[in-house]
Amino acid sequence: MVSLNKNSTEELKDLARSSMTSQGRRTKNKPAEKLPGDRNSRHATAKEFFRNYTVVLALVTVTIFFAISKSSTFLALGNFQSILTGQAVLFVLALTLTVALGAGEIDLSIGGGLGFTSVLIAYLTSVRGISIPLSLLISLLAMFVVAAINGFLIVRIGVNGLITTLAMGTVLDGLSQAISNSSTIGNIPHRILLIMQERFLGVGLPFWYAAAIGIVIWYVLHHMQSGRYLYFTGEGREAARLAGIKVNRIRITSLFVSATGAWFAGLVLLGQTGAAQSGTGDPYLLPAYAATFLGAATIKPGRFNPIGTFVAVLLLAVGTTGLQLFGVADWVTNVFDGAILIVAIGLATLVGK
Amino acid sequence: MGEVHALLGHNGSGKSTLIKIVSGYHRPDCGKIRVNGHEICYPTNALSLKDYGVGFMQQDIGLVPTLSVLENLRIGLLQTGVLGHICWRKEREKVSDLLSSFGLNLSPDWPVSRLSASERSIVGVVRAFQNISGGDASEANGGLVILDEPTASLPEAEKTRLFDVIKNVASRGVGVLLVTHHLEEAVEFADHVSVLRDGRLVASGPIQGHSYDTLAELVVGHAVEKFIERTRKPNLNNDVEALNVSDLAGNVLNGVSFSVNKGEIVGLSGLMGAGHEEIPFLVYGAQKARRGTVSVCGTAFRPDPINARRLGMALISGDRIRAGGVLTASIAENVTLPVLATLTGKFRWLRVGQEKSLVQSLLKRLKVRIASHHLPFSVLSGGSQQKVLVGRWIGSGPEILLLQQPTAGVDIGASQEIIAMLREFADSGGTVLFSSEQYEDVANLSDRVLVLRDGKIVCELQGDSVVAERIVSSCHGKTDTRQGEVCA
Repeated sequence: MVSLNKNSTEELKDLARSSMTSQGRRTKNKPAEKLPGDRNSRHATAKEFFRNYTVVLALVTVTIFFAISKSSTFLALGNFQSILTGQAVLFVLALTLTVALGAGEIDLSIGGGLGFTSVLIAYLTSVRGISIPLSLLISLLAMFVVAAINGFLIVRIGVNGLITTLAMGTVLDGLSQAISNSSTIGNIPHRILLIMQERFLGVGLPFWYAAAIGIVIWYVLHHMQSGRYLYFTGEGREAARLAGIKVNRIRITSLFVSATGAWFAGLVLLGQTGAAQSGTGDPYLLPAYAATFLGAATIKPGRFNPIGTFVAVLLLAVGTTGLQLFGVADWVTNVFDGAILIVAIGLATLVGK
Repeated sequence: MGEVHALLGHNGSGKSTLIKIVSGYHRPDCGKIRVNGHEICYPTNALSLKDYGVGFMQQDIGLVPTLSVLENLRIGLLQTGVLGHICWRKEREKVSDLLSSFGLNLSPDWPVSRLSASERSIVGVVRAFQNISGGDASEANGGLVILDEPTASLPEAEKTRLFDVIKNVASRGVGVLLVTHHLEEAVEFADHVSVLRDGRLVASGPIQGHSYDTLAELVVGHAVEKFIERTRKPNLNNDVEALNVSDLAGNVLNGVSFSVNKGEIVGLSGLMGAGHEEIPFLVYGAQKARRGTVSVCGTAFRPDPINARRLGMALISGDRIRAGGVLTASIAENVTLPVLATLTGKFRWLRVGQEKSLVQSLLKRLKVRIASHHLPFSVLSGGSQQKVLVGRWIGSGPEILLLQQPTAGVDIGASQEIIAMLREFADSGGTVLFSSEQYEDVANLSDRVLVLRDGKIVCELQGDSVVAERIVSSCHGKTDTRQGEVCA
């Protein structure tokens, strides 16, 4: 403590001297005082690394664990190929959901939308005999209507998005029951099966579609002006609005993206299973959220990002597959997905601080 | 008899960190804190601190507006009967006594939302006091009340009332630690003063022998230069009109007309709630006007943020947390937000290299030093945040800059830099229109000041009459002027 009466220039010199001595190991050109957010020690860098790559490390750990304990089955190339192919629906759904969440919107209608789309396309093509392109167009327009209603209610009217989209999902579930008459629609046109069941490098085409979607989303969100605007809208809507960003348009667009994602995921599901039934989309809702939230805790912690989402879907897939190889009962999958979502949200909250 | 001890320091000096350590929000790396001779064991929380005799009033006061004064004051202390019911009658008496002993004439049943700003902060102080005194209006046996920026949201005139209460608290044997940006408060009301700078205690002692200037020097670390009077004397006859507002009305604002010339800095002032703070928002279109027209360079425009941006306007909101920078986004992203369009290359790819050099040059010019500009905006101190926000908008090359409270909650060093930036901007032909209740800063910055009362312009000050005293007295209506009259 320096007394008040002391000459202040002298104090400044004192301060300068003491900071000179504490300079120690720092690199020569750096200013002496501690900069905000400065993490100079090796320990802190390691911590930073773990913080950014928790989920990636978890994926590696889980993979190694299963590879060692179930090497014969798990390590087979075919197993990896089938994991990627089998998760295509989730990839599409989670990646597009990342856009909506990034813009600060929540969309719980994607599960219902997924099931609705697959039932609708199946109905139009196999029951009604409408051509495939027209059926796809009609179903896509139907999902646009859904997005428009969601967007209108949430953005224009200001209704709570959680409730609106939850209700919308239920409406879509009901509609798919009505269309399918609560029974399974089979006899799907061969061409739909073909585009969804062909393989490239041993991995089903849907995965490659999903990868392409992921790359586009990554490009837009991370490398384009619109992506910045989207994140600003999600993280500080009022600040974004005052900066002249078209906040409402971005929010509505993000809901259109998630609805379109649900549409495409529905098409993939239909093509992969070769049959449609109401309610098949709902089991994908929770894993999609688990993946996006887990993804938000990695790569760019605190932000919903497509690469994180991608890694997280892989983690979920490897986890479930590995557990199945151990022959655990089906219910474990649900417990696993649910637990992951809870862990993910916890992690995302901690990391966001 | 307790003392009022002022803790001074600019943003980032460690003031808030110290308070957060005492309040148990952060754990101390080393060192001890004693209250009444008892060492505080860490980790701790508000509840156990109460037992040590430490009461807090945080910057946002922390009252629940929808609950009553009584509920806000007595939460956690409510006296219950045999069946666990609350003895409301006794409580009411107790609170009435307590409030009136502080000269506050309120019904305990009023919701806090009905109180004025100063009454709210007084209730906050009283709550901090009674938390440690156990709710008795009488003497407390020692103890400490920590008030974090109690006057931050108070207009000048109501501060005196709050300080009467603070003195009253001290007179009951409680130490008061007053954390503040306002050096004149320390000079006027404190018994002792401590100054922090760069995380160190640079001075501590009785207030005697200190003036505003000596304290400012300690806080900033070097002598504070007095502002030289702005050289530009706007010549109203020859100037180009940049902005014209006619009959503008908002929530409080009720039919205001004025114009601002190119290169001019116009300050809007008044007591809190006089309507001046709405004007930047209404002109920019961030808030819907009830009526009125705004024209920019002679052409009328429909106020709307997107239109406004297109016409070269920029708005810096006074609500830095909600509507300033985005705290979770990185510093670089915040800096380049207004100029993103100029940073795109082929396929609309954002050129990261160009962005980086732009951010670095701006931060350097603003003297904001940071380990990495990828860190979240929230790591910056309040003063640096404000500097970056003002800097990024000026850097985007606007014609008209609209600001709300540009220097509120900003330390003296940063606020001087902000004033200098705005002056430079105006000197280069930019137009500045800002609202503020920091009368000193208004006087320092403005070429012309419009003072509002009850939603109307009551006085226009220019030239030599742009001084803080004149602004304050016009706010209170002490000058004998009629509406719209120029009282220069």
